[in-house]
Amino acid sequence: MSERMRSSIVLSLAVVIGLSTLALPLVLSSSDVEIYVTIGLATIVVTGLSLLMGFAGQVSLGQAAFYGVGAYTAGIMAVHHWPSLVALMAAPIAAGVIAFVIGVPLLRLKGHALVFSTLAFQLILLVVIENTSFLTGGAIGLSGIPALRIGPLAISTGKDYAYLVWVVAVAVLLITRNLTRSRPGRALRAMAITASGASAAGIAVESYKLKDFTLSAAYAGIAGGIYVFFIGYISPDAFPVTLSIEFVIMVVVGGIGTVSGAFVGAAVVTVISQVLTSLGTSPSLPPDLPTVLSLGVYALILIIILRLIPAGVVGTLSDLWKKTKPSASASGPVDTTGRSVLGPAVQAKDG
Amino acid sequence: MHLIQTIRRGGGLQKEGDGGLCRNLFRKERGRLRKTATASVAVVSFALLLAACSSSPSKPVAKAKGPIKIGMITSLTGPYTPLGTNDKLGAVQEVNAINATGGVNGRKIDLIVQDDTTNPSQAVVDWKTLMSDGVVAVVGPVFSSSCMAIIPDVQASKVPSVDTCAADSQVTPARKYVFMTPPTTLIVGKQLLAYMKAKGITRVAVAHDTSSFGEAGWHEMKAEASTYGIHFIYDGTFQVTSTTFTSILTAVKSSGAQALMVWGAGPAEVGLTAQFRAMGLTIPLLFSHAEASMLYTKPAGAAGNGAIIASSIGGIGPYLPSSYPAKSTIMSFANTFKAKNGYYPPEFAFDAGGAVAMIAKAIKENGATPAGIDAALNHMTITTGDGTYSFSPTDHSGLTTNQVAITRDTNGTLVPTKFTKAMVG
Repeated sequence: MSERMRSSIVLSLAVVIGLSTLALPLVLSSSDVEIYVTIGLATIVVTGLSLLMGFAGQVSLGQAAFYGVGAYTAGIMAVHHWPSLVALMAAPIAAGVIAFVIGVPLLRLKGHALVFSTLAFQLILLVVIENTSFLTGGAIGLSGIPALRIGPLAISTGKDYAYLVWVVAVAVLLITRNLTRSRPGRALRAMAITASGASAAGIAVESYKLKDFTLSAAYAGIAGGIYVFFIGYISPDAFPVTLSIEFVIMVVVGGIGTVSGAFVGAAVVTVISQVLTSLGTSPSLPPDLPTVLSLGVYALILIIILRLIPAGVVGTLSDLWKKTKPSASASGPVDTTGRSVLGPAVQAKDG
Repeated sequence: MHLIQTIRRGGGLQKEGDGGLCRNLFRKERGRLRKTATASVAVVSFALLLAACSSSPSKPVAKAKGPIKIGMITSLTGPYTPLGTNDKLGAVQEVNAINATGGVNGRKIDLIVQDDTTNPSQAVVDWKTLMSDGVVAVVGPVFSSSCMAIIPDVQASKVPSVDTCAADSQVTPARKYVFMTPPTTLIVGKQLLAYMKAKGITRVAVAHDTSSFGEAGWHEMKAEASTYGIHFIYDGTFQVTSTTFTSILTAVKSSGAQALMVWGAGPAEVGLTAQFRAMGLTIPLLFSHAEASMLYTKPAGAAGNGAIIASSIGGIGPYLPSSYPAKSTIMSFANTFKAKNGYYPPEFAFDAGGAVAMIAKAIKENGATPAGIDAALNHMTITTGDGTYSFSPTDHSGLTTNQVAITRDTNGTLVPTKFTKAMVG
């Protein structure tokens, strides 16, 4: 297969996925549209987390906290009669600013210490939300959030949100794709291999880490902002620690360090959990079955995925695709960003 | 050095690649055509596949002679699993009982259960799924945040939801299509205050968790306290996940309070009870109806002995006099439940079973349409395992303090206090 044919197949595939995901809300039932929006929101968050994990080598178990910061920022502003679009725009800014401020001390930590500190941030945030009921509605939550309006356009139905999420998710994916192919992206990948080596090469390691952390939080923030208008009600229960863990699972299932892996991971994990959730609910089935399915079978599926395809869905498909290339060689100029020589651990398999 | 070369090579390669693309215009055009054709075929195939696989959004309305579809959203996974599981058992039991006697107006009930995973976002998805399935009414969530999250959708779809969560805010003020079966925290709080007053208790300490239930219960009770001559002299807060209560209990001990009132739902109350006894506190320990089941009494064990616990009237079914109006309804439900599951039904089972009974009665009166059910519910008086409800367009809770029992944990069994015995006659 010639290089040109390969690139046209890849492009066609991208166009097909893009167009079919655009067409989907028109044919889906209203409950499936809700799942579609959920996948879209998760894609936005997971893209940021993948950027953080795959490119900067940092693991955050507190990404749902930034999702929550975005949601609460937009929700609080909206109930205080700010224009909803301004409230939505403020969501990623607030999440980004908070990430920047806490990132300065947090990102000095490494490995497990960093993971636990992000987890601690989420736990602290939840306690703060519950104890500032004058602002956040506390544990009872904040209701009466008005519909989102973009100029004269009211975003109210599930389909409206499906398209809004689609636009934002595509924008986020494109920004990330271009970022990873640019100088900062190369710097981040270099840092993921060896921070000291990257530093020796003149890369401002701490600064890049902080910027990456801030950007990933801003992605989560905008997703949270859309979420709050979509649901119309917000409470701390919507942002449990398990949600942060689910985001990490999505990154791993999709493929760490792959941009389109964020979408695939979000879609695969959401669909599996939805199917398992609905399987055990029949009135004739034992009442404990949903727990068995949601914990046991879900865990089993994830273990199988990770055992069989540790590089994730996109990572594995990308590897298989590369094998079809007749002239592939480890030292040859295989892609446009020099990824082939960075090693499999941090390769950006699809950009 | 290798690293620097790697990074530089990346930039260089990009230029090479760009140059290569412009080499042959004719081949490029042909490639573009091929791309377009491939994309078109794939899009059409995918759309056909989707049309074949996706569930149709415009399902026909349930036929008048088929089974009546009733939805149920509850928590079968996540932190509220014990509550939701008993909810489901109660609802299924009631549906089976109705179907065994020929259904409603000659039609069987088909219960469609959805799991909200103790997550408000999932509850919204579940609501839409049930609407796609064409249900005429829904037994609503047990998780308060889920109840609040679905309200806009309930009102938009105009399908009544009889919720089993204890969130006063969903019915205060009464909202169209939203009803609830558990006693509100307001009437439970009032009844506990009346009990304290009857016992001559005036100086009370409170400990509450930061859940929506704990917060609402405490605030409702505080607002009513002066009416009953009760003064809250200490207010301690803990988390749903708290395991240590030393600081709260030390403060309670030194405050001179005559009783400790606890508002909260979950395993934390079990730990608090054990530490309360371990610290040698002997003042009455009072709990809301969230602890009125073996889900509390069993793990609390001997430490829970003597605790005063509010309960729906169903919780003391065996102790009710046979002249009590709801006695036969309660015991009929409880005996079937106990025979099948091996334990006396907790309030959650009564709540969901009662919700099914209300919807069934509404269908019997006004037909199996959402509007008919809603109209019937708005004026319904019905006796279920939770007592006798009187709904009105301005009261979508329907219970009064007379349906709240004050019990004492006696070796793991909830035994009515003299205060309640006097009330039920």
